[in-house]
Amino acid sequence: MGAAATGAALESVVAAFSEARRRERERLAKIIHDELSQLLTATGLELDLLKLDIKETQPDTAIKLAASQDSLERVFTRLRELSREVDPDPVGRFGYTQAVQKLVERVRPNLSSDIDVRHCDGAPSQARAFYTVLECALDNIVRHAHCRKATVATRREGQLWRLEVTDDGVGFDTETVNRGTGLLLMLFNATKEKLDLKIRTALGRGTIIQLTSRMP
Amino acid sequence: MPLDVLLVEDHAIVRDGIRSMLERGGEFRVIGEVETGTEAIQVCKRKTPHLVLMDLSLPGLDGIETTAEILRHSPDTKVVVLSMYDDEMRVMNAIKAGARGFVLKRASLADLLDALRTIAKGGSYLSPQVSDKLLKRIQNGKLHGPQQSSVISGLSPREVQVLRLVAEGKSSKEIAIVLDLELETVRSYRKTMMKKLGVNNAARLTKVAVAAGLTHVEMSS
Repeated sequence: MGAAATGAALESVVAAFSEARRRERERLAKIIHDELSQLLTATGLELDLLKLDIKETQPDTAIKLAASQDSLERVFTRLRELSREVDPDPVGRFGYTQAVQKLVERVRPNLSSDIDVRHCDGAPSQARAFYTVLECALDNIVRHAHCRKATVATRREGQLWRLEVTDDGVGFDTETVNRGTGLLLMLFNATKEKLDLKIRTALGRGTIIQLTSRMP
Repeated sequence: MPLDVLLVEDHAIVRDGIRSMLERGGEFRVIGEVETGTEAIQVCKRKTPHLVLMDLSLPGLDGIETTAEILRHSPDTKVVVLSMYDDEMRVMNAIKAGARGFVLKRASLADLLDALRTIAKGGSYLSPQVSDKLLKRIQNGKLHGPQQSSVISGLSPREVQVLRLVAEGKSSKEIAIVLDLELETVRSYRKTMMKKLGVNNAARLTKVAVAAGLTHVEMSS
């Protein structure tokens, strides 16, 4: 297979993977909302009614039921968090700026380092691609970078939009590292939306990922 | 005299529990239970309940759109939104649509009765978790709404509704049923919309809807 055909085949695989990932997230979000959360709500309602029935005659049991509801509430909170993680279109739901803020809030507890976020008003027209690249970049930072500090900056430069994700971690050798799904997804989204993706990194020297829209 | 409540919730196990809770004390009377926004609008036109308890995620017309429609026809009806999600956008959109309360689905719905009582007396209600989050966002200056795509900014709210349903593959007849409109009215909206957007068929309308984030693209297998 020639290089061009190999490249086309790889792009096709990444496209299929991207779509499969979106569908899986949609499926999980639907299960969480339509099945799990409704069952929990109904169970909570039944416990509420039971508490009302017995609170006069068995107040101690009513207190124990309330404790069970507290446990259920913790499950509910975790389900809401999971549902945000698997949201197939956070940019569509919240807008780019809020989607980025929520993503960083979610990632922050998994990082032993500090993460600084800078935004400007507005959002790029290819906001979904920008978000996906950021999501992949942050995933790589969490899993591989071992950094002390990371920065996420989205800014407008005239007619261009630029996303920059930097970390002062271990970096990687672009020649020898196997391209994981994160890097491939970043490349795929950049190519699909005709964005310029630059990755500057070296072992021990941290990483800068820069995504720029092109002149209209 | 008990207050009439319409339940709009597409999950029967949740409806059953809410109905049992509401009818315990005799303050409230459930006059109807429906699973879709379209049915809710039709019931409200016929029966004019005091209160509507509205789930946000409904098939077809969602809870926000249904709330706005109900209040257009029955401005005295008070809508209380019930949702699993506490994100600020949903809360803001519900309030903008005219909802008087937002109650979070939780492991205990004890505050649902408080919400209904408060709203029935003319007040408004946000579940404590929801109001805490909103306050924090306001304090941090981070309460922004998603900017509507400039592609569709020239469309009216009703045209945006029709666009979304066209992109979901619904015919004009189906859209007329969902939105409780005359068929000719839907056709007229489609024509005006196509003119505003500079497109001449449903496929191009779908493309606009996807670009605007109203719906997403399904890849063919």
